[in-house]
Amino acid sequence: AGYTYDNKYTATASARIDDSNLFGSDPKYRYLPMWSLGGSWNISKEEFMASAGCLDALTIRATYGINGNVVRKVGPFLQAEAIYNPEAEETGTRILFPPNRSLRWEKTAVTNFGISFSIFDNKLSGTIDYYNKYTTDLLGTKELDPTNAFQSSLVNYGSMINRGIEVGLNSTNIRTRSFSWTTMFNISYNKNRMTEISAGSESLASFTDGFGCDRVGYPMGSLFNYRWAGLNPENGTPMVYNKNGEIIENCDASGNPQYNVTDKGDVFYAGTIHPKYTIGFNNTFTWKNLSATVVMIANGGNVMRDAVPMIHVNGYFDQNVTKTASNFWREPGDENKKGVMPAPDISGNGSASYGTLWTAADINTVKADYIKVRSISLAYDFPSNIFGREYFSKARLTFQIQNPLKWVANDRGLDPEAYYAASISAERTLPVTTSYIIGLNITF
Amino acid sequence: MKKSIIYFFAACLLLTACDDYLNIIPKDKFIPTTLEDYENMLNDIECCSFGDYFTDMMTDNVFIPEAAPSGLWTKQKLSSKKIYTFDNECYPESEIDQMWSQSYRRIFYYNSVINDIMGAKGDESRKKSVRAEALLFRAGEHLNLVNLYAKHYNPETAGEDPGVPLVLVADINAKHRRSTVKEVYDQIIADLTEAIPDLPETSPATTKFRGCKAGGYALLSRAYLFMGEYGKALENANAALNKYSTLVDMNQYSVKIPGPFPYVPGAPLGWTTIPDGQYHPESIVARHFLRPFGLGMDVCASAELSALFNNNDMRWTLYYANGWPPAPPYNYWNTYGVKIYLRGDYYNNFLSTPEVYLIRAECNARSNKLQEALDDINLLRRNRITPAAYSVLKLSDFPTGEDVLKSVLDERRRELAFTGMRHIDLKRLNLDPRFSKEVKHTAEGHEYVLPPNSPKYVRQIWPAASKFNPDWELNPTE
Repeated sequence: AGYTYDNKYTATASARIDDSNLFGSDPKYRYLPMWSLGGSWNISKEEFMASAGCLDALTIRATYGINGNVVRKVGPFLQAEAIYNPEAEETGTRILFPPNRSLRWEKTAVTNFGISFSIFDNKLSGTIDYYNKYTTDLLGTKELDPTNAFQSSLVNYGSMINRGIEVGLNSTNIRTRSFSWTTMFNISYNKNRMTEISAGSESLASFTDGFGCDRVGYPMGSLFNYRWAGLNPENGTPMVYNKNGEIIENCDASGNPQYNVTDKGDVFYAGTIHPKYTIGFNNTFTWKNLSATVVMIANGGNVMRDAVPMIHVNGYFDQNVTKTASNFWREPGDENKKGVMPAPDISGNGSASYGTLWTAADINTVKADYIKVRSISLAYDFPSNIFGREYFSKARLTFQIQNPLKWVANDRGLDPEAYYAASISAERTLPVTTSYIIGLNITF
Repeated sequence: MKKSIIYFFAACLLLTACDDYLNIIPKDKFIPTTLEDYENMLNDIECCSFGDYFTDMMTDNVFIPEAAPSGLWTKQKLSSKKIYTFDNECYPESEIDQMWSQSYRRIFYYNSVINDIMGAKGDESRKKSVRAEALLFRAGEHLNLVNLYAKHYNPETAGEDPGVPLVLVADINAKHRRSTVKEVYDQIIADLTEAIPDLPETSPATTKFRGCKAGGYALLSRAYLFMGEYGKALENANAALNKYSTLVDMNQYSVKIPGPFPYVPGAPLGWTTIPDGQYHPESIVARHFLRPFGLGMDVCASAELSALFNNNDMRWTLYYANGWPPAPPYNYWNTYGVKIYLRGDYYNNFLSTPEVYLIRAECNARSNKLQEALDDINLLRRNRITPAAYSVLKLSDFPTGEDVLKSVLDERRRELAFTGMRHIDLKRLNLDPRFSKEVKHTAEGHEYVLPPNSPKYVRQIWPAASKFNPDWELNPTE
């Protein structure tokens, strides 16, 4: 519902109560009232603004509201499937999802302040918004105590704050009778911080997970890395610095691989895997019947782990590996080679944690910023009487190049859009290909 | 303005009237509600596999040759190597300790049945029967767990020795503590005592993967044997054998495939004509190992175990081989005087009649009923030894009662080798100065020694579980 007074002052309100049987039968978890209140003030309509020449419109607004999120896959009921078991010659009931009687809505309280403006005879207009979102009862799949049979499940696990700015601008740079150039620019910047975590593991191994971890005081999906101290000149095992700057050697007395990091304080925050800023920049040019649009995007403020090969274990070479995997330590002196990997773990006595000394080393984490030209499109509209008569009402010839150009901030040639982060190590996926598209659209 | 406020409140009232519709169970998901839905949980393959065959690697039954080309050491996983060299911290957080993760997974199934089946739609007495089966299986899981992750039951200290979590609810949000060894055994006894009256006479399904009364008595007699309560163990062994006592003459079985043929699909292991555990006439309640043939093809019988057998024993000639391929240098018999535990077979590692006979014989021998003990051993041996070589063991063959007991224990070792029982027997026999011994294994040029009652007999709590429970006391490693 909304109400405007005097064409200048507006107040809005909306409300809704959702009820769900997907969540625990406990009433405190079932009902979620969602509502919002807002107000806006169209300043430019005020008398004292009448003389502001170049200012065409200016509105200030503010809203506050609560909304919620629900996932439909699990709930308070045990979910199963029927599967035939040939060894028992009977149908079995396989448990798929355990009941979770304390599952509840994820709630977000949003405060938003914004300005909308238009100046220079509507040549430049835009909005600027500042928001603060406080989310509680975050829903996510978290690691649980395997003594309760399920090592992970969807649970409510914490709270976080997202705070940011979104700016959108539209400008008409040039407009003459036959030529125009308009620009659309938007940028959003977001800072995220976990404020509370109540589920999931905080063991040392979870800090170096490839998907990042969630820790209070840090953004969601934070990467924590070891401080690389080079390879051991005697046996090629990785060395790292502890929190006091001392070297930890990761081998046993005979020089075989052995993971010797024990203190959670010896891994250091390196950044978040989620981008902090996103930029869109579109320019459109028209000249008579021809138009051209260039779409660009940029993303960044986050980090990613390099898709390095894992330390060879046990001499199993039964798969193709990337060429860089042949650059590993073989004899003393090799530790000075550029980008050399630790020596293979021939006996297989290292553990999965030993492998993280390499994949989660700080030298193998890079910035994930990139700028891309998403597309360049050209279009020509044929005049409808081109052949003397009106054979068609509209005809348009288009030519588009998709993903022609990119620039990445990292020096490993990694494209963050052709990349997959796995729990242990990251991988490159098929590259984003440039495509050329030509089309003709005729309307009769 | 007023109108919109009225509309607003009216809308709210309408929504709350939806309440009744939302108490209905969502239709597009399979949520167990009937007796059959819950009963089928016991048929699922997740429940039909059971136990950890790696525990045998720490025992005096296992020998792993190292010398190439027939060495078996390099093919072992890191955790197996640690178990063999008596490192009780054999599973790190990042590797699955199947004994912990799968036992508690099955316990979740059993608790879902135990706690929820009585509210399901179906025949009351059948529901009680299925619930009793779930109690039997839950007791079996807790018994396995407490015998691996805790010290052996010692009546003087069991009330304080840390045991394993007793999980009696199927709730992912539950918090558990390490119950004491005594609390775990008390719960096991209580579960079985409650279950036995309602257990069916025979398995209610096609195979023996389900529970029955004889199984309840058999498991109870096993638990009492571990506790050292030989009188109660004997009583329950008799009750089990009164219900079901079939023994099968293994002379009728033969080798079907002598050994693993590499790269031939369908013949990755050796195989015999012995029926799978869930069909075997000697099975009371069947379970397979998660890898149904256990340690088959991975280890050799130790010199000590090999010396306990001879080639007239069908267990020796069917399950073990001189080597594979038969040609030297793969002939372990010629090189080391041992045989490789070779043949796959989906055998039963839960409750079978031979174990119950052996429990009865041991209890009789311990209470000086020596002839009764020999009767059972002779009966078992008649079904194991080739007829030409078989001879009845007579009381006069044994100078003392202790010698009869030793003979029973040796027969038990032969019969139950590689079924996941030996480490428990070592732990309980180590409490008796007559039978305590050291176990020695050699690996990578180093000799490892496991002294009797060493803390290394007790596997460390899986770190993936203990990290969520910092209040749990961890097992000592030295």
